[in-house]
Amino acid sequence: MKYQKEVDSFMYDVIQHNPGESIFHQAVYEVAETIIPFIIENPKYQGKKIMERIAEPERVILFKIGWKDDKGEVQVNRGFRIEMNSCLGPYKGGLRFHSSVTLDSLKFLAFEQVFKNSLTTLSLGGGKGGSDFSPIGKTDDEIMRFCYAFMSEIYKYIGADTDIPAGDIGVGGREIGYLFGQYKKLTNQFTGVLTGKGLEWGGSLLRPEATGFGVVYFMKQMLETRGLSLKGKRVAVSGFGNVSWGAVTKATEMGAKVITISGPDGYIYDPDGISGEKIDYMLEMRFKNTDKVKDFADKYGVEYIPNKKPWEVEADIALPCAIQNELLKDDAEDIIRNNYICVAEGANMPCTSEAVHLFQKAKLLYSPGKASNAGGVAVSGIEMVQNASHYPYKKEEVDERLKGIMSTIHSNCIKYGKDDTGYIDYLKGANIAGFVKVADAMLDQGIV
Amino acid sequence: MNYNNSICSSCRHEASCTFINHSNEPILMCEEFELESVAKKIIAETRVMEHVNGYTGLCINCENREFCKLRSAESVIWHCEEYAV
Repeated sequence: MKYQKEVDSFMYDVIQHNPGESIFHQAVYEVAETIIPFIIENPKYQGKKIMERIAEPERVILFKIGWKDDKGEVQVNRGFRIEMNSCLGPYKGGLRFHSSVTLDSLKFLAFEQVFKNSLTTLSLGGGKGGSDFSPIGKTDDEIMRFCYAFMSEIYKYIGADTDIPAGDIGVGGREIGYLFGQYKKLTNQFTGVLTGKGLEWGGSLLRPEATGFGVVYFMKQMLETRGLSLKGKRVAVSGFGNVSWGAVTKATEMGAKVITISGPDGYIYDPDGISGEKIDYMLEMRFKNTDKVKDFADKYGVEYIPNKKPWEVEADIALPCAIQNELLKDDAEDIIRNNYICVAEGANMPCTSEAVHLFQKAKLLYSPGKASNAGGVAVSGIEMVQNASHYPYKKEEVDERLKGIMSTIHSNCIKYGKDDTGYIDYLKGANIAGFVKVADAMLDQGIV
Repeated sequence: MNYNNSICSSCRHEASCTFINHSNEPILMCEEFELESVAKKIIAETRVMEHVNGYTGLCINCENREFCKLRSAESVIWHCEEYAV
C-alpha cells in the first residue's frame, strides 16, 4: 500500500498511547489506511496532527454504578461514556448494556460514530457509552433500578446541547424510558436529552423503519449512477430484524422483488417475492422471539435452506442486514459469479475486507454501512430537531428529510469516491467525506 | 511481565526473543528492538480476544449463539441486528 510507512508510524503511536486496546487499534487502523494517504496528498491537512487529535477522545467518563437487586443484594457495575468528538455538534451515540462492554470496545464504537454522524450532514458529534451490566435474567424492577443508578451518575455530563445518548444493544424503549424518567427527576427538565423515546413523549415517527428505508433510498441512487432502476430487480436480503424488515418493506413498495430473508438458522427463498402479509409476518416472527426463519417457510410453503446464507441465490442486489462479518470472501465470489449489480450494507460492517476488495476489483456497486445504513442515526438527528422545536413532524415529513439526507450522503460519496474511470469507490468516498467535515470544523475551531 | 507497558509488544522479535525476562518489570530499553509491521500486529492482537465458553463479543450471551449460521467463527462480533436475549 502507498504510504504504508506513514500509516504504520501513526499506528505505532496510537498503540503505545492506548496499550492493550486492540479493538480500538483495529478501528483506527481501518480509517487511517484511507485517511493518511488523503492527508499527505492534501496540504491543507498536513502538519496539524488531525488524525492524532481525532483518535483521542475529548473526554472519557468512567464511573461506578451501585444498585440493589431484588434479593436486596448490592451489585456493582461499571459505566462509561466516551465523548469522542464534538466539532460538528453535541456528542451523539448509543448506550450499550452488555457483559462484553469495556473501555476498549466503546472507544472503537465511539470512533466509528464520529465519521458516521459526520456523513449524515447533521450537526452531530460522536460518542458512545454503556455498561458491563447484562439485562439478561433481570426483572423489570431490577432494570429500572439499574437505569436510575446509571443516570444518577451520568446526568451531570449529558444534555440536549451537550451529549445526547440513544439506545443500542441491551438498551431499547423500556430502558430509554427509565433513563429519561430519572434524568427528568434529577434536573426538572423535559428536554431532548435522549433519542429513541416513546412516540407519545418526544420520539420520532419512522424511527424503527429508518435504517431499512435509508438503505433502499441509497441503493436506488447507486443503481441510477448506472442508468438502472429498482423496478423488477431481485433483491437478496439477510436477517429478519428491524433493518431487514424496513428494507424489505421499502424495496417491495418501490417495485423490487425481495426473494430471500435469513435468520440464525438459515434462509428462505421465495421466488414470488416477499410482500403484503408476508412482511407483517416478519414482525410477528420477531415478537414470537423464536429466532428461526424456518417459521416463515412453514407458514407460506416456500423453500427453506438450513445452515446456509442467501448469497448463493441468483439475484441482482444484495442487502446484508444481519451481522458484522457475515459476508465472507467465498460469499463475495458467489455474488460476483451470479452477476449481482449492487451490494448495499444494511448492517454495520457485514462484509469482510477481503469481500469488499473483491467487489471493488469486480467494479460492483458496493456501499459500506457507514453510508447506506446512516438512516437510523439520521432520524435520531431529526428527533433532536423535533424536540428542540417542541414540534413533532408527520411521518411524510420525516420520510422526506430522510430521503434528502440519504441523497446528500450519496452525493458526498461520489464527490470523494469517483475515480478517473468513472467507478465510484463508496468506501473511500464515505471515509473521506466523513473525515473532511470533521477535519475542516477542527481547523476552523483552532486546536481542539 | 508487564506486557502492555513493555516495548516488546511492538517488537517483531517478540515471539522468538530469548532475552525477555520473566520479571514483572516492563522492558523499556532494548538494543535488539525492531518495530513490527503495525498491520500484522493489529491482526494478531484482535485474535487474542477474551473468550467465554468459546464465544466473544456480543455472542457471549446471545441466545442464538449455538446454532447461529450468520456469524463467521473467526470474527469478534460488535454489531448484530439479530442479537437476541
